[in-house]
Amino acid sequence: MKIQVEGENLNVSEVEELGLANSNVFGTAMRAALPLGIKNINIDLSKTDYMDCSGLGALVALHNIARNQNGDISVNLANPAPQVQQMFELTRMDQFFPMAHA
Amino acid sequence: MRALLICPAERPEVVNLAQTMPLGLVPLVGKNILEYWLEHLVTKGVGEVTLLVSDRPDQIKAFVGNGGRWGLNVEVVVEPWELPLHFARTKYLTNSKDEWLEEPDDVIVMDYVPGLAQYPLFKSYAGWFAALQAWMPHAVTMNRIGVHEIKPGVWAGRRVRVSPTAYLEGPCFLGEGVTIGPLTTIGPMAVLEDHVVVEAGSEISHSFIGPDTMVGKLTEVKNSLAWGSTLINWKTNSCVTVPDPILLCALNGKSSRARSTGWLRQLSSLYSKNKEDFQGLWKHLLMNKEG
Repeated sequence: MKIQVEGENLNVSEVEELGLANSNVFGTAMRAALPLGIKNINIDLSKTDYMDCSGLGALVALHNIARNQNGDISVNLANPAPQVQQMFELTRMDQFFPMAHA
Repeated sequence: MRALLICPAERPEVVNLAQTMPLGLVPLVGKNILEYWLEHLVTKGVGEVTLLVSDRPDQIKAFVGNGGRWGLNVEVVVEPWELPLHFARTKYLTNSKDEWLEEPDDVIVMDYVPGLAQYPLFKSYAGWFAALQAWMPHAVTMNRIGVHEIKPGVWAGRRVRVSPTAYLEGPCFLGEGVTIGPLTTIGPMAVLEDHVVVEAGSEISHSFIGPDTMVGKLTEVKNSLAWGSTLINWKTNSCVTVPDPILLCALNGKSSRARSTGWLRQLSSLYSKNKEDFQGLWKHLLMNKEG
């Protein structure tokens, strides 16, 4: 997983999976990398080929933590693979997270 | 009269439909495709059917038997691969032509439901869903035991339980033993096959839910074919195996019964191995209860 800070953006990419096995690691890494002044968290899901409830829960937790830290912060997801998109739709999380497609 | 039916073998475009059974046995509004064809042939005056099967013939044989259920004499013939139509005709229609239905009805590849050749079932998931949509009005108006219209456009089989707070919008079909939980929205265009359970707050529209499937709380299934834990978006052809049973999973009565038997067996074997420990534990529990 790659985490880069660019001005007001925190860009996350190369997330291979987001599930029970690594959702805690993902959450810890994100919390550690969340400096003050960030306005957007952009997560590129193009490399993610597996996601389950724990992964979705980790994204919701990240969203809540970011909101508590700075009210204006937004979590944006991009380029989910069709299977991952299906998981978002099944759990209605597609209505919760703004989703961008390349 | 006689007819030759060919069960579709592999269809790579809809490979996930045939995960657990051959395509001929895939349910379509309460019955499978083979059943619809056998019923149709009876109405055409056919008495003898030769059924060519190459994919999982044992399952087909177990289902069809000798055809007595339909008043037919069905012979299941196993072929190593699916014969092309003209080749099957040359190989099997050797007797007097008068015995067979007239061409092209004499040899049928079950790639569509009777009367809807314009809707091929197995060319894509979208095609399959379009065929399902087109077939539903015919299927529900057939003489079917226990199927009744519970509100306009909503058809239900026997032993269906619908919560009073569920919202049903036709066209919609609920198979036998379906349970619909509170605050759910089912339809429009939803087909729930036998023994589907939909938990509270879920929404299902423009979708097919395969038999013995549980749709978990607050989930949304749209433009999809869901069967067990497999979820296929028929618009995008995307397929995912849902890893969380709380969202979508197979309900298999047989296996859960088997599991419970196994669990009891394990407990009894543990008891017989550690009788003294168990008796000690039991005494301890009783003493605590009395104390």
